Amino acid sequence: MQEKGGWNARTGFIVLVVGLALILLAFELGSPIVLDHLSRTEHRVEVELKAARALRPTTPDGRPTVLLAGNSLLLEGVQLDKLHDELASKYEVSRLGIEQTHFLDWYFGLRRLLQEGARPSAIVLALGTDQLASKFTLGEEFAHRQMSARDLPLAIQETNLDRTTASTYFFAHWSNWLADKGVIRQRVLIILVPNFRALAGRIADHGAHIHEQEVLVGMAKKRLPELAELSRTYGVKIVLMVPPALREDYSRDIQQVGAEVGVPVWVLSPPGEYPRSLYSDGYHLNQQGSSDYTSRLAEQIRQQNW
Amino acid sequence: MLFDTPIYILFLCIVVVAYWRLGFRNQNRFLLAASYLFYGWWDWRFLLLMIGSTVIDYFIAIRIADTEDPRVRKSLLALSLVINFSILGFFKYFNFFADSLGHVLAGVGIKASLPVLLIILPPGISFYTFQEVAYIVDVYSGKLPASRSFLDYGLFISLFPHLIAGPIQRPAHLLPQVQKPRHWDSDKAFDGLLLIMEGLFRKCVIADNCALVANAAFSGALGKPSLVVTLLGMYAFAWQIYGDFSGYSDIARGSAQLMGFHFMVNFRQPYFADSIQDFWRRWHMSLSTWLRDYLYIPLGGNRKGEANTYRNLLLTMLLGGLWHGANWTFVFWGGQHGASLAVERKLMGDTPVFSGAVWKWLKRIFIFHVVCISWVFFRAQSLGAAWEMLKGLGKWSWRPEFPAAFLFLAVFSIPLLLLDIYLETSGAEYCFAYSPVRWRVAFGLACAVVIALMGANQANAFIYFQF
Repeated sequence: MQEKGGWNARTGFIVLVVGLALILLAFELGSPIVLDHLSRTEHRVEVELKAARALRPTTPDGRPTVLLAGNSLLLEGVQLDKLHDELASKYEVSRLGIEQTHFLDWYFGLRRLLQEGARPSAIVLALGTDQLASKFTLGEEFAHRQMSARDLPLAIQETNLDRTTASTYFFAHWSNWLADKGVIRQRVLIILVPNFRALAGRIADHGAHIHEQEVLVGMAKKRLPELAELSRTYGVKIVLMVPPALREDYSRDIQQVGAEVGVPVWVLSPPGEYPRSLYSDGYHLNQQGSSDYTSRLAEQIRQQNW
Repeated sequence: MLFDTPIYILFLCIVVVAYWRLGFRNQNRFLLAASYLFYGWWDWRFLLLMIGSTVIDYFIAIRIADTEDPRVRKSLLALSLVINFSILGFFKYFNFFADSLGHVLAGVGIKASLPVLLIILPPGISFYTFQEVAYIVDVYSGKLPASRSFLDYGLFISLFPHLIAGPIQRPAHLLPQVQKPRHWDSDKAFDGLLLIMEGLFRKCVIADNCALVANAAFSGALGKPSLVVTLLGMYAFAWQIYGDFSGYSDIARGSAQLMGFHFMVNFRQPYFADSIQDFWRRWHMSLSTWLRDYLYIPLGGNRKGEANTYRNLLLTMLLGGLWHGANWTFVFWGGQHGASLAVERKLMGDTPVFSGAVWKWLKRIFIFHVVCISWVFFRAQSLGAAWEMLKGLGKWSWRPEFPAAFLFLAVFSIPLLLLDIYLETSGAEYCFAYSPVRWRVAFGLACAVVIALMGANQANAFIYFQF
């Protein structure tokens, strides 16, 4: 039906379809640029990712390179500047920290890094024991940033994806917007809802928390050999570092599994050793805790013959 | 395929473009193949089950139509009903009844080890079973001639926009549309595209965000049930399920319109109902009218005295509740609605009381809360969990995150409330439906921007997919 002096439905349909395509294109092209400016976290991750890709086994002056990878337990538990200072003469240490990541994010993330040519002398992957056992990934963000296209079939198998989610991962691998939309939404909500960060910690879905010894050890038996295989394939030493925990996390059992399959598991502070006063929230270390933990980590790396 | 995923958008675009390049019969063949692909995307074994069930009803309907002997016709009808409900019963209710029987026997001191089967519920089985039953009953009662083309009948059952979660299409409404040629209509297609945009807004922005608060409240992530936690969970789930299912229905209707089909309206601002009866005239209308026509009226409806009317209401709603899922929570939810309908009928009769605008809004707020309480049973994992949640209404607790949770909920529920106020006052099917084309284009584009900015970041399956 033609409106008086206006558009008819046919024109409206065409304009709407074209408009939708343009909006999609704008988000697709614009989201990485906007996020890089708006989000310090995204900017940091991009910088760290780029640096990690360029890593070679030694620096031009002959020092072995070490990549520390992990989530907020690493970001808040290890003081990078202090570690640099303590190890500068012997090792070149760099970091790749992505919040809310678990084992599968890192298994595929490290695979992709290594496929793309990154070759640090050693990788220290910092994950809690429950995160080692978790089936959680960052979803579309994971598919875009950490999963390589050729690993899609393996990712489908490992994460037991249905076809619809698998297809979404396929699209997200190539799409900036699908990968970034979670972060975009978070930025908008931080503006709209005061105290949103605290609320997000409660309502975000991070998958079920795993604390049964049998499950944790069982998953370690499955997953540590996968890290060992990755280490052999690319000739890069891989170490699992279990950050401090207030409660029993069965890290000693997992250390034994690591010894059996050839993946060193570092437990630099046994569960319960650090008092609650060294944690900011019962999970992440505070300034004092991270200072002590960084010293221990520096000492541990110094002792290696990498 | 979920409607809010890239694969569905791509699938829909390819299907619509290819479909309009074909002639009528080829359109039907192509749509049947596309619908089977859409369904088999989950698991091809479920596709075989659906095709098998379609074939059986196709032939039974022809036999019913070709036979004049009333006893044979009745036997064929009974055979179809037994087959349809046996398939549904086996896949959906076997473990539920086995488990419940086990509990009953244990209660009287008999230890019985009843088998529990590892059965995966085929998607959409409740929906297509009801559609098949409606078809057989309509053919039996002479309201509809039996389809002589398997292509047409198969497409009527499996047309992909309604296949998984409705709206449950009436044979007399959809089958003739399948049987007649369809022509491109820009008005219909434009409306369809806008319905899809509004549906995606309802699902991705409203429902998926409200789901975060509802899930946190019902899982205990916001703390033990208390007045605040229960209210948050109750309100969040009320808007989640409404946004989710009405969004799904809009996308289904819009997708169908892009191919020249018309689906019945499934929701009409249900939270503006001023009685439970009114609620069921506005909520999941394709199911409520199905239950009315194929269950409540055959049971006798309100024609056999007051007591039988209440019995029929209760029975219809109990079975309607059970249709949603194999759990006592759904039965209780249905029972609560049935009992509310009966009480309402007893107290109010057919005469409206407390008329006037203020009373109307007070009644709406009251009914909204009655419905919200019933959602607690619908959402909870067990009757015990639902009861614990409701007991929380009498306890007080506070966390610093609660104001943010209420504000978060308001940010996502108020837009839907405003949208419903507009639809209720304008009588439109979607926002700006009666406005100039430019306004409607602007609305569609605005929906796209809001979805891109605020859509929850991980796809959540539509709630009604599990039914």
